[in-house]
Parts: sequence; C-alpha cells; structure tokens
Amino acid sequence: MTSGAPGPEEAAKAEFFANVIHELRTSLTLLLGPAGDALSDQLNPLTDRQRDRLLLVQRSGDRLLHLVNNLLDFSRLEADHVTANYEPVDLAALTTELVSMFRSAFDRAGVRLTLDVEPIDDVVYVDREMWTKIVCNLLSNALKFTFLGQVSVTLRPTDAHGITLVVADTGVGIAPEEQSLVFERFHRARPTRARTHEGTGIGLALVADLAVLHGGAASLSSTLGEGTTVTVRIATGTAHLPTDAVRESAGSGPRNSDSAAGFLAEADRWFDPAGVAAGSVIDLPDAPRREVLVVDDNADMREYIAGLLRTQFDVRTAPDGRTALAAALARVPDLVLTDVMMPGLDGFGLLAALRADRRTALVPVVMLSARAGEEAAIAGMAAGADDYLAKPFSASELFARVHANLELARLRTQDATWRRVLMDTIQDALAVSDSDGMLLEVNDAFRELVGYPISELPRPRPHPWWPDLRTEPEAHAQIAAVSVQLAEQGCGRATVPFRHASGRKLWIEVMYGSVHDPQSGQRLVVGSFRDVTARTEAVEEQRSVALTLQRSLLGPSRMPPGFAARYSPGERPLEVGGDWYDVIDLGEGEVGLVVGDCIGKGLDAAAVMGQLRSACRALLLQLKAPHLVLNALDDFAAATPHAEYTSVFCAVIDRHSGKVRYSTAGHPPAVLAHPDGRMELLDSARSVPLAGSSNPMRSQAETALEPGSLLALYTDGLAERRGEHPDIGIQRLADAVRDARSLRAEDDVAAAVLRAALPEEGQSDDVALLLYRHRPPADFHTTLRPVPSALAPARAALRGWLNANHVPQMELESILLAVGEACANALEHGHRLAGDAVVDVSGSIVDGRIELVVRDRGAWKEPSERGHRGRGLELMELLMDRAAVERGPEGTTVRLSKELGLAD
Amino acid sequence: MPTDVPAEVFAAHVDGGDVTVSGEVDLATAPRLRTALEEAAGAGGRITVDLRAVRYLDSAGMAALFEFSTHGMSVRVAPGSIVARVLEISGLANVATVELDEPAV
Repeated sequence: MTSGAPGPEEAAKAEFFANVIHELRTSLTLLLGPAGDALSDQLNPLTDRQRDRLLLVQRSGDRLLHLVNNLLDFSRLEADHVTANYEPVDLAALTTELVSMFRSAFDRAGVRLTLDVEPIDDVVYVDREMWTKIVCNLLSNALKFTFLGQVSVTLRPTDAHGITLVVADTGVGIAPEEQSLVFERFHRARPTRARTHEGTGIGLALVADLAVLHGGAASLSSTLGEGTTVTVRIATGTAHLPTDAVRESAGSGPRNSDSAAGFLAEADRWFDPAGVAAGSVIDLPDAPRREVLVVDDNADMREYIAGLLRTQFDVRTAPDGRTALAAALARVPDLVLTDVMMPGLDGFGLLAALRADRRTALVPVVMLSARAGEEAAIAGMAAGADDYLAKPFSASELFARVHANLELARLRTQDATWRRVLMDTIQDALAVSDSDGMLLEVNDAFRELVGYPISELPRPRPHPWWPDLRTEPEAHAQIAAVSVQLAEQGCGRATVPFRHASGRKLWIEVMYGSVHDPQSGQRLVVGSFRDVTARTEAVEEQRSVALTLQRSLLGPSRMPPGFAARYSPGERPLEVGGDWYDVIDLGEGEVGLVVGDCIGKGLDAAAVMGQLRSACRALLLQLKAPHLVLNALDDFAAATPHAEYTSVFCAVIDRHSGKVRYSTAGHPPAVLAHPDGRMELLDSARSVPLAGSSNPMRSQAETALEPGSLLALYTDGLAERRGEHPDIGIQRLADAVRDARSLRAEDDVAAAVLRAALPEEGQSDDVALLLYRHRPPADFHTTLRPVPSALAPARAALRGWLNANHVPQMELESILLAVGEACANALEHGHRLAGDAVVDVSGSIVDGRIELVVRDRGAWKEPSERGHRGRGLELMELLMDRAAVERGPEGTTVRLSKELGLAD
Repeated sequence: MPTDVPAEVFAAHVDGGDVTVSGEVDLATAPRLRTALEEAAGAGGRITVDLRAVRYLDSAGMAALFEFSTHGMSVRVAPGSIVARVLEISGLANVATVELDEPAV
C-alpha cells in the first residue's frame, strides 16, 4: 500500500476485488444464517452428530467470514474507499477492554498476558473499528506464535504528540531475512513453529496500513527463538486526519466487540482442547489414557498436533508411514492420525497396511491433508479411513474428530466384545454368514461342534466340516444344497451331515434366520446348529436293528441246494417291513416253504413277523399240511398284537414225487415255471389273511413239479405297483421267472427276477422272494463181482447216474476215477475173498454234496508201499474232497465225498 | 480176462515206437497197454504214446506208463482231460515228455 492515490487501472482492479469479496460475504452470510438457525432451533433439535456437523459448518463459516472481512478491509484501503470515523476515544479504556477479551484465550493457551497502560492526557482521535483490528491482529499473531512465556501489551504516550502500542511476545520469532517482508501484503513469514497455519498473510500489513491512516506507522523487531515485538505508533489530535472524517462526539461507531469476535473465535479454535473435551467426551475416571499415534513428516505439524493431544492422550509420533506401521504393530494404538503426503509410505499406504493386518485392522485412522475438499475426503474414506480432516484445521476440530473416532471405535469394540461374549455364552453353536455363504462369525460352541479352530474369518464355502466331495458326494451335495437354500431363503430348518475334524460323522440340525446388517446394508444369515447325531443315529440304529432282526428272522442264512431267497428292505422312510420267507426240512423228503407279509413297518413289524415265522415253523413241523398250518396260525395271530391281517403262502413239497400241497391266506399266488416254459399260477385254495375272519375255511390244493420246474413265492412288494392292476404285476413277475429259469444257479435266477420285477425308480415297500428248483433226490447203488472185467460196466452205470444228476464233466471224471481206484483196490485182494463175495458201491447226492461208499470184505494193503496201489489212494485223496479208508475185521470201507459246488 | 472187454472199451495200436491208445485203461485193460508199450520199446527207439482218445486211465495204467518211461517216453494227451490231470497228479511229467494236444477228430 502506498500513500499516493492509485491510478484508474489500479482502482478498477480494486473495485472488482471489493465486489468479489462482497459477493463472498453475502453468500457466507446466507450460509451461516440457516446454520445458526438450525443450531438454535429448540423445536426441531438436531441429533448430536448433525449438531457436530453444523457446528463445524458454523465455525468454518465464521472463520471464512472473518478472513473475507479482512480482505474487504484491504480492498477498501486499496480502492481508497475507506470510510473512517475518527472520534475522540478513551484509548486506554478501549485497549484494556480489547486485551481483556483475549485473556481467556491466553489462559487456555497457558501463555501469560500482561497489560501496561499509562495515562494519556492528549485527546486521541481514532476509528474504533480500525483500532480494534490493530489490537486484535497483534494479539492473535502473538498468541499464534507463542507457546511458552508471555505476551505483554503496553500503551503509552510518546513525547511528540503520539501514542505507542507495543505488543511483545516470547514466541518463535521471525528470521532476519523475513522481517522486512512481514508488513507486505500477502506475505506470510515462515515460522518454525506456529499454533496454526491458518492465515492469509495480511494481518501485519493491515496493521501497518491502519497505523498510517492514523498518522503513524508500525515497526517490528524480532529474534529467532526469543520473540517478536511489534510497535504501532499513532498521532494524537486531528491535524493528520481528513476533516470530513472527524467526529467531535463519540458513540456512533460500531461496537468493538463485533469486530473482535472474529479474532476471538479464531483464537479459540487454535487452542481449545479443554472446551472440546468438556463438550463431547465423557471419560470414565478410571479409564486408561488412550494412545494416539501421530504421523506427519513435517516436524512442526507433528509436534504441534502431538502437543495439543498430549493434554488428554498418550501420544507417540512417527515421521513417516513405515516407521508408523512398525510402531503400530509393536504396540497397537487406539487411534492413528496421519498425514496423507509423506515420503516413502504415504498415508494411504499406511492405511492399507494397517487394515491388512488383523491386529490393527480395527484401529480408527483419521487422515490429515492439505488437499481440502470433497474429492480428497472421498479418496480417504474409500481407502478405509474412519475420518478425514483437511488442513488447516482448528484445535477444536482436531479434538472433536479424535474423540468421536475413539468413541466410535470403543463402541465398536465394546459392541463386538459384547456380541462375542453373548454368542459364546449361548450353548448352541452359532454362525453368521452373508448371503453369498461367506462365513463371517462363529461362536465357541460352533468351533467345538465342528472341531476346527476357525481362526481365519471371513472364509468362503465349502468348509472343512462339510463331507468330502470325493469320498461322500451325496452328503456333500446335500449340505451344499442346504447352504444355497439357506442363503437364498433366509430362514428355515434342515438336518445336514457334518464331518467333525476327528473324522466322526455328525448329524446337525440347523435353524436359521436372516437379519439386515445396518453397517454393511447386507442381509446376514444367522444359523444355530445343534448336534442331533445321537437322535439321528438312534433312528438309524433302530432301522439297523430292525433290518438285522428282519434278516435273522427271515429264514435260513444258508439255503439248501435248489433254493434261493432274496430280501430287500424298502427305501426310506418306509424302510424295513414285515416280510419274511422260510424253508423247513420236514423229513422223509418233504420240505415246507413259507412266504408272509405282516402289516406295518420297522422294529414292531419285524418283531411280529419273527413270532409268526417261529409259530409257522413249529406248526409246519407238526402238521405238515398247509391249510391246517394256516388255520392254527389264525388262532396264533388273533392272540398276537398287530399280527392280524398278515398274509401267508404256505406250501409243502415232496422232493421225491414233486407233489406240491399249498394253501394261501390273502397272499398273491405263487408262480411256477416248468422246464418247457409252461407257466402255472398256484391260485387255488385261497382265503382271507390271518385272523381276518372269525372262522375261515381254509383248504389246500395240489400241483406237481417236474424235474427242473421253478417255483417262485414272493410278497406283494415285488409284483404290485401303485395305480396298476395286481394281475399285471403278477404277469410281469411270471415273465421274469420264465425268462430267468434257464440260469443254472438259483441265486442268479433270484437276482434276475428281482432286477426284472422291481421298478427302476426304487421300491417303496419291502420285498421277499423265495425260489425252488425241483430236482428229485438222487441215490446210486451197484454191486460188482471181484473181477477186473466188472469194473467197466460198474463205471458205465455210475457215469449214467452222475450224468442224470447234472454233475459237471470234470467232477464226473474225477468221481469215476476215485471210485474206480477204490473198486480196483477191493478187487486186488479179491483172491482172499469168497467166490460169491461182491463189492458194494452206493452213492447219493444230498444238498449238492456227493457221498460214495465202496465196501468189500477183504483187508487192504498198507498204502505206504510205493506201488500203483499206493498211487491209487493218493489219487482218491487228490480227486475228492474227502477220502477215508476204514479197515476192520469184516472188511474195508472207502468213503468218498465231494462238494458239487454251485453246480447241480 | 481180456476177452471180456469189448473192443470199444479199449484199443491199442502199435507202429514202431508209436503207440496209439483209445478207450478206458483200468485193472482189466492195463495189461494190454503194457503189452503194447513192450512192443513199442522193442523197436529200440523212443516210445511215443498217444493217449488223446483215452477217457479213463487209472493207477494200473499209470503203473504201465511209469514202467516204460525209462525208454525216453513222450506222451500226448488232450488238454483239460481227466487223463492229463492224472498224469499231472501222478508226476509222470517229471519222467516223460507230456504234450498237450487236441484229440484227432
């Protein structure tokens, strides 16, 4: 600013500048007005959070307005549009008043403020507002740069019609090369240390200009590290003032407090931790001091922030991101306050590193940056910062943010701890997952349930406690399906297989519901898991017991030759039923066949079935007539709970004649396939099921088996299908039996019939099948004279008998040879026998085993002798299963036996 | 009593050292096998015995074969036949050459 009048171009620029500032001020006023209204609105009170935000708006707005006002003053001076009102003022009183307004701010800063005012005799004409600005600028500057010591204000008359105001501080001082520049507009000294970096650099220049307007000047002396003294001199009287601006009476000027308010508000923000703390933080008296890690590469800023925070927190500092990260990991702080721009690891890098480590992932991070504005804030937040503070910021803002974030973190931790404790105290296993099935949280009971520590969360499915995809594909598919369904439907209940870490199979009942997570906005699924293995296993075990019982009660585990049987339990949930079959040897070549079907399923039906089967077996042995057996069984069933309406097919077969006598109690007819393919249904002698009527007249019917005829007894599960006429099912079964009859082994026939008759989609009922292929019992007997020529005819006879009984070729030849050797042995000592003596050969095939006996009346040679006789005995032993030679005084008996295996 | 044995039961044909046998060899016919082997051995060279048409050979027949096995005997039998099995069991293969050959039609 020069004292000379500005040129027209300069004036135009200044005018424009003034207009811009005016517009700014208007806008600010319109911004601050509603903010103030909102803050003071008692009818529609703000929430705390909104109040904090609006207070920030108001404070920042006030500050901006203050700065704009300062600029406006300048622009006025520049444009020569200053409208000053110089009036006689009690300068001592005004100055005292202004200084005292700053006292509280100094007190809070811990800086002493002294005032020394000497009496002023001359009348002093000043513009009250200008003087206010002079004093306030000087005081706020002094406070800004002074951390220890004091600021002294002296106001005294000088000898030659003048007054001097001296403001001396013990602050950081100004470097010599800077001192000549401080009164230049827009220049700001670079102090080594300041309370704030706020400011436009117009304070001292304005003071100097204002002093000039009062016929004086401003000067400065400073020593770096010791302090600064600013001296403002003004003239007394009116000689130096434009006459039209001089008022002879005081009182019409603006109140000084209005102008001072801006300065005071500003000063408050530099140093107002106590006020912030009192307003927004409730520290528990015994709460440990929380620790803040301050990270900034600028040592002044770092120390400034640390100095502020140390009044309430334990503070550690770090000059860069890398050091800070090491410090944070070494001991996790309660909050990290970090600058953005730093060499090496910058603020965003530090943030990412902190978030990446589980120990520091939840530590609140507040970022500081010179990059003001929404964009920077969004970048900070997007990177995961909890809060963002743009430089410059006031002390109160800093404290507000630090406290708010610590509190949030505390609540978050407390919330998490509370929830964890709550979850862990619940005995049921709990797990929380998101809608994608990502497992987010589990409690101790869940960990115990599955046997895995589950330290890494969140974790995606599949989980290790799921049954393995390769070894248990069905169980895996089951749980995967439930998992998807659970995530999609959000609520429900299911029982799923788990595999405990120990390898034990578990049955888990899961009940789940979904909740909306206000933090993430996601739908979360909360499941409670209960081990129902014991319960499920009890059901499984009962089924297994019933099945075992069923099988043990069904009939002989090893069927006699010519017989084959199959029992197949129904599929879940019907499972085991009450079907049975039985084969009973009645002696004298007779055999009893029974197939029955009890009403009901499971263990109870199996028990009833067992009783009926035993009763039937006893009755058959005693009565040997099917209809009489069924009549007697009627009485038994009537006396046995749940035994009524049991259906039974009962038959007695004479294995020599092939005659079959049978009777039916409400059971489907047996199927008979003759060797020539002719089919017969045993559908005579039918009557009601057991105990189905009070006095059923049961009869018996008879039919005949040919050698090779195949008889099939079965329960209705094998023939009947839902929605189908029973005759169709019986026909299908008959076809299956006919088609399979040529298979040699009865077991293969049974398998083929079952395969052909059962529905492909699986059976719902249990099924029993009993097959008999008729083969009359075989006996052989011949005698031969003790001459070698008798051997060949005897062999021919034996060969014929063996062929008739379908003895396979290799077995046949072996048997012929063994018997031939036995006969040859008998003949060799035939010379010792009487002339009419014979060698007796007999054979029989019983239950697939051939037994042969060769008897003579002589005495055998000892086989130890290595001749062809000894070789003969050796051959017998090798060709047969058993070869026993009994020597006695009456003669010698050779017993040979051989299992004919599955072959008939 | 060889006369008791019908021709279809046993037959032996000797051609030098070669003996071709058919039918059944038992206590009754073994002496005839022995005679045939003796005749073949008389030819002075190796004896070749074709047993492929034999369907029965008991220990008496085996004894005859063993007796002449010292003359460098070669025996032909039908594979899988009871005769082949008996030769195997008796250990004739240890002292004579046993050839497995399908019977001539």
